[in-house]
Amino acid sequence: MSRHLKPEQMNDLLLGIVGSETTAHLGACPQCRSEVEAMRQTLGLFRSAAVGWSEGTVKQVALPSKQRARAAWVRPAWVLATAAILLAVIVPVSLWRGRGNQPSAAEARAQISRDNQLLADIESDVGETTPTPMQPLQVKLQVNQ
Amino acid sequence: MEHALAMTQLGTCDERMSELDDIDGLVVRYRAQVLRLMALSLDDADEAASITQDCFLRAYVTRAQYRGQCAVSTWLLHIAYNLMRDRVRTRKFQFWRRAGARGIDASELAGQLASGASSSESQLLARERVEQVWAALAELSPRQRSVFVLRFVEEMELPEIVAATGMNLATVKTHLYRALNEVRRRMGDGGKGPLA
Repeated sequence: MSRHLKPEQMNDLLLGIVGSETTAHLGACPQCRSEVEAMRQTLGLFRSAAVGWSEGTVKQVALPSKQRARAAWVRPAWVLATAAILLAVIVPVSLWRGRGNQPSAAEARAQISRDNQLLADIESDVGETTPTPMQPLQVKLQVNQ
Repeated sequence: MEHALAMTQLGTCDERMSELDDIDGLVVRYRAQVLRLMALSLDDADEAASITQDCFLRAYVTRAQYRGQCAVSTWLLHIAYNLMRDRVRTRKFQFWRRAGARGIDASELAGQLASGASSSESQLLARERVEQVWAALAELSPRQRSVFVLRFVEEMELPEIVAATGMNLATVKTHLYRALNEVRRRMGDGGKGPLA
């Protein structure tokens, strides 16, 4: 064993891991005992300061109440009931309004008829081999033949 | 042995489980403990307060998962530690940390020491020692600081620290050795003797 405790042995002592050899040395060596005691005292001072700081800080800041803690995840029954009532009123009203904007069946049929007529006109125009402006020329040509 | 004794003193398993139903009581009893673990680990008072609040909320929501296998405080600190670990991983946290978080001032911490009956010189030395420990902790990662705080501020046994952090025993010891070496280095020759 060396003259004084190694840092690892001192660390073990501070962590409560005590070997018989270390204990024997500590009993016989005032210098090591003093060093270990200084470390223990310093760590104790730090503990007191940290506990004092946290307790002071906690006192300064208001405690979160049970209601606030619960509010984040549990909605009270009356909130759920209000939401259900609003849903029951808003959904039918919006559906009814949406229906009011739709055209009647007669209007729809008339629109379909107009669309069909337009499509038929386009079809006949496109289907003709001679464009409309040239049709008089075609008639003349037939007469001459 | 001490751990078993502590568990006995904390009441039966059923008592511990029912303790979680009373969130107000839970907050009153353990808020300071959770807050100081977070604040000292992160060196960020605002983030610590935010995680502390989240911790109690999560503890209350997930209280059915608690089986009384450890002390309530250990369970709460485990939740807080996991929240902190998740928070530290996020890029947002890294950004705000670089931007300058509201850290804990060393003199503010040292100023918490009770004056007692000691001389003004001893008080000054005591404050200096607290500042040295805080400066030593600044050299460590948040996880290493957490382990240090759990051992030397919360005075938890090593198996309890393993339960609270989910680290293995060897890792816990490595972090503690590193922290103690750093504290010893900061104390230097002036800290080799006890205060008067």
